[in-house]
Amino acid sequence: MLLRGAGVTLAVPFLEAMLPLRRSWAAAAAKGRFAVLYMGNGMLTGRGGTQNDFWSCSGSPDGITTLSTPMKELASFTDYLTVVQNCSFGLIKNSGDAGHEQAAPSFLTGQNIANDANVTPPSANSGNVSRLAGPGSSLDRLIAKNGSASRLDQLMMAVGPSNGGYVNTDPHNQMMCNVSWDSQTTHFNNETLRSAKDVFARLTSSGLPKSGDTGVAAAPQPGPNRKKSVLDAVLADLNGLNGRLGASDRLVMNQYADSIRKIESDLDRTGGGGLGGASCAAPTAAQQAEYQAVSYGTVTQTAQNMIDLMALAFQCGITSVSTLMLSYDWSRVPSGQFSAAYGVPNTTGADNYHNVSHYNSAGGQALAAVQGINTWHAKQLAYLAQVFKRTPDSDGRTLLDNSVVLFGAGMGDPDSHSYQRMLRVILGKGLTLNPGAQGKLIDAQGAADAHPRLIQTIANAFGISTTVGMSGNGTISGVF
Amino acid sequence: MPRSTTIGCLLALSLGLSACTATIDGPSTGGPPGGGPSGSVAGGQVPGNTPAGATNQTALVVGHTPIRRLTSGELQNSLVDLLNVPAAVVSGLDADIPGPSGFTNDASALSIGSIQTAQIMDVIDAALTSAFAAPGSPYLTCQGAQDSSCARSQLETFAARAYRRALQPAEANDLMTVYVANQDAGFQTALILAMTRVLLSPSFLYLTSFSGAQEQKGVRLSDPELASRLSYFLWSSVPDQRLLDLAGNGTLRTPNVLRAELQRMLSDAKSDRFVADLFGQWLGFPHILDAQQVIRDGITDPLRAEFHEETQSFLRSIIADNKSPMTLLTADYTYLNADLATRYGVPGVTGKQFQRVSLAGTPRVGVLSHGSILSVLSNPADSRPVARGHYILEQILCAPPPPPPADVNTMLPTTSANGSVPTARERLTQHRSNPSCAACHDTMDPLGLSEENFDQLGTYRTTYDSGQPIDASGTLMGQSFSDFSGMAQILTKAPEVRSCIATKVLTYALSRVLSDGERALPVQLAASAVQDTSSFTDLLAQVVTSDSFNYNSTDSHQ
Repeated sequence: MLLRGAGVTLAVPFLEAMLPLRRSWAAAAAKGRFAVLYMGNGMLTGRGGTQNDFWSCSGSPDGITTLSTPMKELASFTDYLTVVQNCSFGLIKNSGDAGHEQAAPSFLTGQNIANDANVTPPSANSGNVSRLAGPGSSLDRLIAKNGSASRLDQLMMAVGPSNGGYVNTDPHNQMMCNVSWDSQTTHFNNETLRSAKDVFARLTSSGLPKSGDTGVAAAPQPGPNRKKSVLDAVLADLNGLNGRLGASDRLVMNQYADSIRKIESDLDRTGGGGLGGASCAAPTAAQQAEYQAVSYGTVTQTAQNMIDLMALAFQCGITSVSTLMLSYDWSRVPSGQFSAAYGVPNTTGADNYHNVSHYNSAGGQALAAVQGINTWHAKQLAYLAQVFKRTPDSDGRTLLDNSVVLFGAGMGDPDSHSYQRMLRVILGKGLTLNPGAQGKLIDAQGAADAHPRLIQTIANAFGISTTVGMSGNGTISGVF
Repeated sequence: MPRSTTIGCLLALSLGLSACTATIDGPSTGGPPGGGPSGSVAGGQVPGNTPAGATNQTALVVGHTPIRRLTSGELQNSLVDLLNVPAAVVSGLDADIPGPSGFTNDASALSIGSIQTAQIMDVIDAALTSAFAAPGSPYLTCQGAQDSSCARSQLETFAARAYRRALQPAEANDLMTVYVANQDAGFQTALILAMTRVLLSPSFLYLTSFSGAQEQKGVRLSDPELASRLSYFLWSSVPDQRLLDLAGNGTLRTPNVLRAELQRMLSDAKSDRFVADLFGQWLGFPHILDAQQVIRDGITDPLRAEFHEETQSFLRSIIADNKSPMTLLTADYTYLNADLATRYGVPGVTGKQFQRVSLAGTPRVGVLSHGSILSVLSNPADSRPVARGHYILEQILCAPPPPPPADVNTMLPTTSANGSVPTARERLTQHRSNPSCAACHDTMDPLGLSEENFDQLGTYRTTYDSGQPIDASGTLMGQSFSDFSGMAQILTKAPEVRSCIATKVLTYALSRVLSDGERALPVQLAASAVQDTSSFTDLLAQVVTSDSFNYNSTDSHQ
């Protein structure tokens, strides 16, 4: 809330009042926005003669001719649709050994456990996150770090854990809950926002206007430098304390110091004055109330609120990079919510999403439930397409025109833990994406390094020339 | 799930109880969640789980308690108590996720990132704003003018409370530096900024236990650190002035002073936080209020609240009446209003007010038969015996079974050989035909099936909806039982249960799992303070006078 009216001196929280006026917005990094929608527990691309029920389509680089049932959700957006099919990751330590653990970390890093019998794969509670092969950053992190200054370098979101996400301090679980990585061991569990309420708070503290803001401040604002000076003093405290601590306690204090430095860095961006140019509207009062609701909404409501907020963050120039994990690998959305959450058949006997993903052993309605879950994810992607298409960007085009949206799962068929012949959807016309009126279908032909090469392809398009993951610096032609 | 996970379920046959143990690759094999004795179930002769009464001469070696930040709840309570602001003002922090000990105060799990720090800054901001906006705010009240002298006095008093110890002169000077640097913005602004610095300081946000003298047992906590540890244990908040004074004059450790302080703290309304945090996180009953997660046929919001109230009132009474810790499992009474009494089949209770009610002659005994816990451990439409059995193993016996092997089907069969709908017992019997399932389910299932007479809302029944009769009989530790109360009776005699209760309280008090060198401690505590004749204060007194509570080993990574 901004101060309104003379004589009101303490009607707003003090530190908030110290933020600069929220009237000047970062210029949109037009055409360069990058969004990721991730699906946990794999995506089925076909099973026997039932391809039409799962993720598949037919056509050529000149146009997509048919869309499978879930992909029909995207039928209104074929002119924004680039599909890469048969996108395998055969370099992964495969099948049963791979499990669900490697799906999320491999999705944007393009790397994983070497296919080496001497390497023990990650296992339950093992804590061996560091066994990812080779250091590296995920695609979103590379783009965020390479991009122009914005108020947040990246917006990381995930639906959960209240809706069944599987987040705790166990490294094994953290592997499955993070697509964003800066190194073998650096993920962003602590930076990922897991409710619309948190996302909204993060964005408003980064300059997103709130409903009812007039843009007129009535009281002189102490500058962010004052706030920074307090943080500097706290950092000095921390430095002083470190000399008295053992190594592991120092790590604890360093974590706190890092978090303060991150806030200082955000303050620097925010306090640096307006970057000028873009403009965006505050959410309506009703939207704002929904974002700020304390209780956790349904899975669908949460996902769509987060997509709305992602669009606002892009439109307002608060960030140009965002990831949203719609579900987790090994997600345990419980039985009580299961069918209602995803609108799928009741799966008697299978008590959570992960178990259902092993549809052969689950039996019953499990396969139909998996199909329904696939379609639910397609609907959320379609929702994003709608929102982005109706949201104007600073250059008069739409967000969808200016974005590269990558959708997929880290794993293919979850029942066999397969990483073969996966499918990737790329939505948008950002950078030089040009799917043509009928969309574009590219066949990666099941090459073992197809997935990392696709990651490299997108990285290159964003101006990153270093080798990403296990691509060998190879790319997939015809995408951009 | 990886198929190569090394999990082996073995049979531990001591006391006639089949048990399973896990061999899991990685660093966390030192003990099960909850910090309890490792390995086998209820009666297995494993290090540290020697039954109470048995001789155990192993010398205790104090473990390391790392520096840790306050939990979200502790921070909120601390701000409320320090600044005298309403709790609603300081809401907005994300709840912490329980660590390996099962508690949110687990030092190893209390990480922090910029999101949490930003939330903390917002909450501090809101608390200070509210404190200064209060009519006659003490922070704006000066003996003389609102000047540097007044600011120094305010800051010194405030920081000493917040840091829970005497303020060093250099620290006071540093705070004044912030004040002076911002004096141009006015007295109030400058003072708020300096107080913000206090509340963002690690001396407030983090609990330490390394400031005392090095002795043979380890670093002895300083008296102020002991006051803090006591206060965050029993009040989940900052020590009050009396505790700080006793720490300051060096008398807090005097045995009768400490015992008196324990009694005083437990008599204070702030000890409700102890009930909510220790028992709530240990027993999990507050989940009944989570309408998103606990979806049960027939449940309503008022019923959720009633179930919660029953268990909460019961647990508060154990503390208030200074009952034996064993009362958790042995109580032949509970707290009911008319609605719940009708549901439980207890006559003679009227009105909405909860009152103490005898359970004599009913099939219920202790907290395990409360509707809250039974409902939480259910499926939407029926009981969930596997979850109930798992719960008893993990929370009452401190012997959680390992996760199921990756390559087995964990779903129970839904049809029997003749095509009829099988009972839970029949489904589990089928499931145990797989030896790798049987290793754990042989132990788990009888415990869970003993509660089959309670449906998904904890309502007593003798038959299933299908009309099939319920068989709740089984064997535990070589003794047969015919129903839940029989099973509970065997449990209450088991030394492992007593040491598990001590383990849970100790783990919560120390904010960490017990170290290998401390495995014998809960057994010792249980032998003297978790008996039918002991009181809860006896147990707490043992905990707070233990070496583990009073000493800290050196940071092993130093």
